[in-house]
Amino acid sequence: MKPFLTLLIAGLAPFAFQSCKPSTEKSGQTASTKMFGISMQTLNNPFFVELNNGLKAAVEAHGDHVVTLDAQFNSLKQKNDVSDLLNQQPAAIFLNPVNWEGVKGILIEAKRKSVPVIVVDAPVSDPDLVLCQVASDNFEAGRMACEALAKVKPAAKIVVLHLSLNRACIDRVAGFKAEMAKHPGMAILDVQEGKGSTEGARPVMRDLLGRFPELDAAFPINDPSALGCVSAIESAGRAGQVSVVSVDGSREGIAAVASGKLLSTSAQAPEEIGRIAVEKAYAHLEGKPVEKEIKVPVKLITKENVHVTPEAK
Amino acid sequence: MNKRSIFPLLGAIALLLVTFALWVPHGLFFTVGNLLDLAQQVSVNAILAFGLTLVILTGGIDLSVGAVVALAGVVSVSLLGTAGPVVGIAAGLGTAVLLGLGNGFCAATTAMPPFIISLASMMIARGLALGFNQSRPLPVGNEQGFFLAIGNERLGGWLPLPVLIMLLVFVTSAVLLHRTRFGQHLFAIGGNREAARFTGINIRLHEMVVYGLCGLCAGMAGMIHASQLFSAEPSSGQGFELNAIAAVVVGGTSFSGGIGSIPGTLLGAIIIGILDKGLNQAGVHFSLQYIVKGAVILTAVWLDVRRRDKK
Amino acid sequence: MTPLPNSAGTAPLLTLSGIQKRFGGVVALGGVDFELRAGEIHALLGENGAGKSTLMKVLSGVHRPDQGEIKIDGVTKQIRDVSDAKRLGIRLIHQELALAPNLTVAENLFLGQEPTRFGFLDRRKLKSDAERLRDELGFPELGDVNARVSDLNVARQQLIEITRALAGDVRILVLDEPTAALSHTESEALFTKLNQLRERGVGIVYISHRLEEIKRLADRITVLRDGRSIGTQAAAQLNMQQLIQWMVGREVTAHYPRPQSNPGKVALSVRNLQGPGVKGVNFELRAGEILGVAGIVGAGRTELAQVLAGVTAATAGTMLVDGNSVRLRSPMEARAAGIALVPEDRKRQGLIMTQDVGFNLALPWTNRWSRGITPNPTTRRGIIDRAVTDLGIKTHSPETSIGALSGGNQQKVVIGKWMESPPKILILDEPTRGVDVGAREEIFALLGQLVARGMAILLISSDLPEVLNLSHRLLLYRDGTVVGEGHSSEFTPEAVMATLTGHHNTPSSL
Repeated sequence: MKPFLTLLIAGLAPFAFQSCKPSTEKSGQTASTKMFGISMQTLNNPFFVELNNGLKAAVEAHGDHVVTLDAQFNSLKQKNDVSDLLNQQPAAIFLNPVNWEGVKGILIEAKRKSVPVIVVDAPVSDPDLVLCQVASDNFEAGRMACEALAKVKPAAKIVVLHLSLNRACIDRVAGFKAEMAKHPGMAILDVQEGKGSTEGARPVMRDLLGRFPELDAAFPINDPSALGCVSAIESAGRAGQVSVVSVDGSREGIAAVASGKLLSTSAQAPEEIGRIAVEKAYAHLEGKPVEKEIKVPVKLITKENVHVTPEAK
Repeated sequence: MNKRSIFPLLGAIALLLVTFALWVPHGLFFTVGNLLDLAQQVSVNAILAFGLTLVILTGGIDLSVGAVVALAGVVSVSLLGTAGPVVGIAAGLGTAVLLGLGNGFCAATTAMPPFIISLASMMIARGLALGFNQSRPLPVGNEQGFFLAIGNERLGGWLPLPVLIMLLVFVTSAVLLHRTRFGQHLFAIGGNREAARFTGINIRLHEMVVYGLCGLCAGMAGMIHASQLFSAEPSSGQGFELNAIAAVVVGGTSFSGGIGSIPGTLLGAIIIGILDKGLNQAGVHFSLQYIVKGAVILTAVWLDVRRRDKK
Repeated sequence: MTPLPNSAGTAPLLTLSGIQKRFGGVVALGGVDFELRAGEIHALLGENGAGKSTLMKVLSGVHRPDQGEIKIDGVTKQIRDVSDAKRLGIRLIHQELALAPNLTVAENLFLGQEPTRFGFLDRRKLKSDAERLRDELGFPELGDVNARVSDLNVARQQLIEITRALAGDVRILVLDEPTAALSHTESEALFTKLNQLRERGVGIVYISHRLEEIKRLADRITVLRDGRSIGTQAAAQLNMQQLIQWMVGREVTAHYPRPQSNPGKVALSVRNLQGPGVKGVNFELRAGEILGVAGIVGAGRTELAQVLAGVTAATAGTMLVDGNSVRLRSPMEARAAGIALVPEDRKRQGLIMTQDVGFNLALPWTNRWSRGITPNPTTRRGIIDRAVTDLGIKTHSPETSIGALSGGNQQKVVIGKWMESPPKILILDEPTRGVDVGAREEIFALLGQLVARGMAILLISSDLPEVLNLSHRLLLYRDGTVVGEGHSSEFTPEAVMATLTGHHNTPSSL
C-alpha cells in the first residue's frame, strides 16, 4: 500500500508542480487558438442547438474553438460544468443559465478567475457580475403573441403553459399580459407548468382542456411545448377550436404555422444571438467597451408571412 | 471494511487520475486548484452516499434523497429571511430527518418493500417542494452571509467548506458504522435479518434510525446545494439518488445488504466525481460521458461480485 | 403414460444395489440395496438423516452415486442427471410443493413446455391439453384447469404435482412425505389415487414417517438407517415391533453417556401455553436438567421452541421464569428474561453468513466491548477467544468466514455466542442436524458441562436415540401438545416411537 502510494505521488508530482506556476510561457504556443466555454441549459431543444451552432460558427470563424457542455436542466451540473470550463483557462464563457437565481455562485467564481461571462438568451438576476447579456426581446415576443391572438379572438379564454424557472419565459409572459391589458375581453383561465418540452406540455394541456370547456386559446412559452399543446388539442378532438400562439420560430414551429396548427410564433434568431454574443466577446478581449444588455429583435410569424420568411428558419 | 476491498478502489482512482492528468490538455487536470474543485463537486454526492450506505447495508433502499435535497433547501431558504439562519437550517434538516424517519417507520413496521416506500416518499417530498413559491426558485438574499458560506466559503482561502462538511460526515458515519455497537448491528441485520432478530437485536429501532440518518444526510446535502446555487430550487436534485447509489455500489457495498463500508463509498463517490470532471475537461461529448459512466459502474460491480465469489 | 401389465414375478422394475454416496467426509449412503416391482407400493422408512432423501436424489439424478448399480428391468443404467431420470420414466414428487401459486392449474401442468402459436401462448390448446391429461389419467378431482393454484387446497395442489409427474411415460413415481400437509380426508383421496396407479403397473416409492399410512398402503416396507438398508418386510406380515427396532436400532447407551443430573429449583414453568402451532402445553423445567422434547416431523416442535423464545408471541397461557411471570413478544425480551434459543436452521436464523466467526460470536455482547465510539478490541477478542476455547470451535482464526466452517463448528458458534454470560434457560432446536458424529459428541459433552453448572436445557430433537439418551426427563410431543411425560430411563425407544406415530394403543399387535 505505502510504496504504491509513494509511487503514485512521485509519478503525478510533475503534473502538479507544472501547473502550480501560471502557464503563461506555455500559452505562447496555444495563444493562436483560444478556447471559449459554452454551458447550455439543455440541448434537447432546436432553439438551443441553433444558438450553440451560432456561437460555434462565429468562434471558429476567428480560428478559435469552443467546448460545449449540456447542463440538462440541472443547476448543480451547470455549476460543476462551468467550474470545469473555468479550470481550462477559457478566453470567455457563454452561459445559458438553467436557473436565473442559481448561477450566482458560478458568476462569482468566474469573476475571481477574471474570465468574462456573456449570458445568452435567458437573463440572470445579477447583471453586475456578467460582461453582457444577449437575448431575444422576450417581452416583445410575448407581446406580439398576444397581439396576434387578439386579432382573431379578442375575447379569448386563455391558458398559459409556463416554464417559470426561466427568466426569458417570465419576460414573455409579462409581455403577453401587458398586451392583454389592452384587450379587456381576454382572460387567463389558468397558468400551469408546461416544462418547456413537448412531452411535458402534452399531458398538462390535456388536463386543462378537460377542466375548461370554454378554453379557446393557449400560450405555451416556446415551440416544443406548443407542439405538445397542439397534440393534446388534436387528441381531445378540439382541433380548430383552440388557437395556439407561441414563441421561438423553430423549424418545427414554423411548419406548424404553415399547416395552420399554430396561429403564430414569435421567431427568435438564435444564430444571430450567438453571432452577436461572440462579436461582443472579441470586442471585450480587444479592450473595447461593451454594452450591458443587448436585445435581439424578434419577428412574428403567422400564416400570412410564413412562406416569405425562409431566413427565419 | 477490509483492505482487500479498498485497494482496488484506490488503484482505480490512481489510474483515473493518471489517465486524466495525461489526457486533459495543458496538464490542467492534475492541479491543486482543480483537485480541490473536484472535492467540492464530490461533496454533495458523497454526503448523500454516506447516508445511503447505511440504508443499503441493512438491505433497504431510499430513493427519496434527491427530492429531500430540494425540499430541505426550500424549507430552509423560505425561513432564512424571517427566522434567521439557525432556525432556517434547523427546520430544513428537521424536515429531512422527519421524512427519513417516516420511511424508516414504514420499512420497519410494515411489509411494504423499501423501494416502494421511498418511491412514494420521493414523490411526496417533491410535491411539497414544488408547493413552495409556485415551483419557482427562492433566492437566498445577499445578506445571508452565514448560509451562503456553507456552500461557497473556502476555509483559509483554499479548503471549500462543503468539503470540510463532507469530511465531518465521513468521519462521523465511518465511526458510527465501523466502531459502534449500532454499526455492528447494522452489519448483522443486513447480513441476516432473521438471525439478527433471533440474537435479540431491535431491528425496528435500528431501521428507523438508519433511515432518519439518511434523511439527515440528504438535508445537509440540501443546505450545501441551496447555498451553492444561491437559491433553493424546488425542481433540483432529480436523479441525485441514482448518482449516490452508483457511488455506494462502486464503493463495494452489496445491494443485498450486509457487506460494505463508508471509506469504500467515499472512494466510490470520488471515482464517479473524477469521471464527471475528467471527461468534461477532456472535452468528451456529454452523450459519451453517460456511456463511459455506465460502463465503469458495471465493471466495478462486476469485479466486486467476482472477487467476493472467489472467497 | 403407458399402462403396463402387472409384471410381478418377472425382473423387478428397479434394482439398486450397493449404492454409496459421500459428501466430503460425511457418509450419506453406505451401501443401500432396494428393489421395486412394477405395480407395487414400496414404503421407505427411516429417521431423519437415515439417507432417504439422498437415496431418492440419486434415483432422480440430482446426485450421482459414488458406487453401486442401478438396474431398470434388469438392465444396468446410468442416471447422470435429472433428464436421464426423466427419460427412464422416473418422477419425484417433493415434500414441498413446487408450484407457481399465481398461475392456473393448466399453466402449472405445462410449465416450461407451454404450447405456442406463432410465438404466442396458445391458451386454448393449453386448456384442452390440460383437460385431456386430466381425463386420460382419470383425475376428475383436478377440476377446473383454469383455476388459480393459490385458490385450491393443498390436496388439490398435490394432485397437480402428481398429474404433472404422470404426464409422459411414467414407470417409477417417488413421493416424499406426501401427506405431511394433508388433512385426513385429503390423504384418503391421495391413497385412492395411488392405488389406481398401482393397478396400472406404476412402481411407487412412498416415503413417510407415518406407520399407519404405510401399513394401509404399502406392499413392502424397507427400513433405512444411517445410510444403509436394514431390512425389507412384506406389509402383509408387518411386525411393528420389528420395524421400530430396525428404525431406532442404534446401540442405546454406548455413544452418549447421559450427563449427571443435578436438578435444582424450577427454572421455567409453562402452563397451558398457546400460540401459532402450540395447542396448550404444560411442563416444568428445572435448573441443572435436560428436558427432552421428542416428536416426529410436523409435530410442531419448532413452533413450541419459537413461542418459548419470544420469536412468535404466545396467545394464551403463562410462562414463569424463576417463579416470575413473563410475557415475551420478541427475542430481545426473551434474552432479558434469561432464555436463549439455538434455532433449528442455523444458516437462516442462527448466523450472519456474510461475516466471520468472531463477528458472530461477539455480536450479542456489543454492549460489553463497544461502548460509545471506542470499541475495545481486547475485550472483544477475549469474548471470542473464550468461546472458541470453551466450545472447541475449530477455526483457523476469528477472521475466518463463518461459511468456511464445518456444520458442527458452525453449530458450536451458534451455541457459543450465548456463553459469554450463559442464559438460565437454553433451548436447542435440532442441535445436531447436519452435524457429523464427532462434533455431535462434542456438543453433547458441552451440554453436560452446562447442566453441571446449573443451566436448564430444553432439547428438542427428532433424533430419538439422541433425545432419549441425553435428556433426564422426556416430553413426548405430537400435534402441538404434550402426549406423554416421564423420566427418560422409563421409556423404550419402541414405546416412544409408537406414541409419537400414533400407535401407542396397539404397539405389538401390528
